[in-house]
Amino acid sequence: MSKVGLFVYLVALLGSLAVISLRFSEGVPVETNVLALLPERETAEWVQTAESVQQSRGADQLIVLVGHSEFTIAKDSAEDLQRTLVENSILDADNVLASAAQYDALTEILFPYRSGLLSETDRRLLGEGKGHEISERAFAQITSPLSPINATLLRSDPLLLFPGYLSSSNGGTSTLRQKDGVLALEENGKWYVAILGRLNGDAFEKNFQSRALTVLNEAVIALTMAHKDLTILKTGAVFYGEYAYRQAEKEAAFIGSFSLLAIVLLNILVFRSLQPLLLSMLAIASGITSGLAVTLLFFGELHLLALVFGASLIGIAVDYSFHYFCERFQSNLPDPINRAKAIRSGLTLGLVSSVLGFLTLSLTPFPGLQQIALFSAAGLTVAYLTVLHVIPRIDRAKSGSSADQLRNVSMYLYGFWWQDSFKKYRVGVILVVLAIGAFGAFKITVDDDVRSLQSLPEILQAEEQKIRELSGIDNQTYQYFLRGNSSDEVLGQEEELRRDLERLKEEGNLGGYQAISKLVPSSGRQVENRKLFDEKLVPLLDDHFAALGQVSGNPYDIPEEQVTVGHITGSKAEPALSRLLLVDTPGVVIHAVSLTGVTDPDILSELADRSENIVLVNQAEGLSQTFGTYRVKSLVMLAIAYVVVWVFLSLRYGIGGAIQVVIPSLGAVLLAPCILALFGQTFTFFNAISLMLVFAIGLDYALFNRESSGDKKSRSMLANGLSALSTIFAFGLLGLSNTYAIHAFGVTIFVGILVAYALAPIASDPKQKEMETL
Amino acid sequence: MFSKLTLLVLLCGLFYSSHTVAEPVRLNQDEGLKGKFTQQRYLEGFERPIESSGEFYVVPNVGLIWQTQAPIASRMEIDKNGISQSIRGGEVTRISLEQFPSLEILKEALEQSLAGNWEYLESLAGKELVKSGDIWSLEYEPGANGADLAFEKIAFEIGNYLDQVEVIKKNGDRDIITFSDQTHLPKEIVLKEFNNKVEADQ
Repeated sequence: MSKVGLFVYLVALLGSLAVISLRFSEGVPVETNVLALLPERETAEWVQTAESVQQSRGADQLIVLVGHSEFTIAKDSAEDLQRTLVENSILDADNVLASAAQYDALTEILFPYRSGLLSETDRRLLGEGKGHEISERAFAQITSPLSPINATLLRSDPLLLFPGYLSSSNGGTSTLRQKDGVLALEENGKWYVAILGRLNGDAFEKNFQSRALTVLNEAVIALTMAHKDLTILKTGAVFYGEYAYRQAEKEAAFIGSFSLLAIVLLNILVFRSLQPLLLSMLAIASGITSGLAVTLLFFGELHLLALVFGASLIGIAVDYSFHYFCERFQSNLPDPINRAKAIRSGLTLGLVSSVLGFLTLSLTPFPGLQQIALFSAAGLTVAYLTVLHVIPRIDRAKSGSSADQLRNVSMYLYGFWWQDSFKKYRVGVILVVLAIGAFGAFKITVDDDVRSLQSLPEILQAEEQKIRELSGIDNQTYQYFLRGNSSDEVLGQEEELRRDLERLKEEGNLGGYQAISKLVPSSGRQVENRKLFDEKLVPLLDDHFAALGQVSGNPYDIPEEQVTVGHITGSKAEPALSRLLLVDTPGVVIHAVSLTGVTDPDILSELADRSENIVLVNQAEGLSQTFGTYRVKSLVMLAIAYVVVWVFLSLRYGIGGAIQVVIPSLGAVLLAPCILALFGQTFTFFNAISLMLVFAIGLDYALFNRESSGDKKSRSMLANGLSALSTIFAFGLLGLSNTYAIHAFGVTIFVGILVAYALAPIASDPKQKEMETL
Repeated sequence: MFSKLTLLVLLCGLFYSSHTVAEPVRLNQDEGLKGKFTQQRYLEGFERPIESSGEFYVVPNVGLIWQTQAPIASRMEIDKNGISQSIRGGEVTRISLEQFPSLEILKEALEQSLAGNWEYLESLAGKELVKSGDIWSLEYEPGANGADLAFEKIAFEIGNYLDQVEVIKKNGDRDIITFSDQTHLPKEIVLKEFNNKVEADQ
């Protein structure tokens, strides 16, 4: 065994450790955002920036509804709960949305500019020369016995322009209304008071999650003990995050322990020693270390999911170890160096095929796939070096059992495929498998909808749905993003867009919308409004005052400047804009216009097509399209990988022989989705990615079958069997997971590996003599 | 002698009648009420009150129409969904009562008092109607019950029907609404007039 191999291994391992230490010294370079795994969509960078700002703000949001038949009980309880959350630093005190203080601050900022703030209705009336209707409307409101108008307001705004402007600026569908200083709604005789706020910590950080849940639950228990009929509904990413974390911990504890136990038992039962297991772990650890280092070197960081998938693929290294250790099962035990030499051909061909396949996949412009492919290719290469050049130098086993029984059992499968006595059963089984495949193929349902791939807990979803139904708070399915160099430019764009949105509302194609410009018009619009005010309303003021029985005059201040978004940001009123003001930096400003009651997205798209600075965004739909695109792309690249591997293997086995070697892996990749479809499993992006592992492991099983003959065949079959069992224990059990991506990975591996193992003997050539060692 | 006797009978009759008419009328389930109103709104710092007048129609459990005729014609309709104001048939304002707890109480007070449902108001005020001569009265002070509303007091004066309401706001503003020509009629008739008024404006 060459010392060069050992030297290369040591250099690779030490180099990897150096790279990892260096990168980790600058902080943990592991990305956990699932969206970072996806390729950059065909959207402009500014749209992605806006989406990411909105996602992080969405994750910070907390919505609680406190319900009781007595309004005062609901209000007091909600205020108690809010105070507890703020005092315990769960909610950000400055970001409690729609509070009375926020509303007062907003009124205080906008009121001095009221002559430039006209509702759409008032602009239309003034444009049509119907200013007197505004005066009459004010009279109707002033003389109403149920009017909230007071002397202070009437003295400074006798035409009541400002109350009309403020009420018209709320275009959402929320049923929550200001009542007694809180946001409340009534349904079927029950009052619900809302707490809308931003979290004071990271919704996905475990410590914050558990602290938030503890504080909230204790407060809820105390409140419900004080008022039996109190209902408390809550939603926010923190609850979903905490559930997912708890679920993952539970699954990791159950599935992980079971997997580990099964693999340890398998090793002890077969090898009567823990040494093979420990040495296999050395191969895997070396592989993961190198894979991590190479990925960090090329990408600068590693995605957590790429680490999980990549580490799984390096799990193929266990197969290499099994083949090495199964070489112990000989009556005249060769030394470790010769045992390694005996498996070198299969190992080399397996490694080259897998690496070729992975490198082909890495040509997909998909950061996730590229990271997984590079991680696995580098990791497998080092694991290969470990098995061939390191383990034999540590392995001290001198004699062992020949494990005749196990080898004989393993040969039943080989016999089924190649013994004449099984011929009629073989044909029958092949026909049944083909029929299952064909029937399953018709049953395959593709699902790229990101919402169904999220596997959110039903109880939390139901609570969120109830809150949305009650409050009318939408989840911003459709919205526009508008970009400009300045806030004023974007406000102007919004105003143009709003003309069309108003038309769509009238036509019934849109329920409503919310935009910053409804609260803060562009400077151009404010100048226009003031002109309308001066020309059409000021001349009416004398008559208006006379009808009120007052001395005439003009109480409307005309400040020289206009109100801007900057007046609101940094004030107590800022939360009123936070959902829509996404980016506000010198030179780049991005606003959102959120839409509700969308009936025809195509019409909305047409409005966005008019300018490169406006896009219609539906994040869920965009992500689903991306999943769909890359599901197809990864399958296409997998097909190309098969062609590349087939060409490579043709060099050793000839064209027909290479096809024969590829069949078990290809058969498993084709049959697995069909069989899963028969059990009602949909085919998603995650299933497609999982087929990569089936591809590589299936090839290994076939290659070891092809490369072995005579007595060695039984050892290869035993090693394949052990490999299949350990892969199923390690990854197939993940099918029990409730997290959709992990579940899809697990079930695909489970079925794919079973089929690949069952078909692997097809790759053999019983007439072929021992092939030349590579 | 005869003339003295006649005078005595008349005086007795007057005395009797002055003590029997004072029981306020309460509308039955199948009745409605219509009448006229004059409202004076006194606003702090304003030289004189803002006056308005017109007609009203109340149908218990259906709603109230407040038809202002002067200084400008406008209509206010109140139902369970809130307050809607219109001029020449076109809606100019809509207020959800949920937003303004003070208005919701005022609306209830106005509707219930016009309908003669004094038990409701007695319960709200936490006191009973007080009789003084021919007039009954009731004062509701929400602050006394710990409620924080935009008005300090509502004072009702009742003869056969509600005659006057005075609403005193916290900032010193006050409204005085005086009712006259109240007539209670079968619900269908008031409803018919009520609906005719709505249709006439459209």
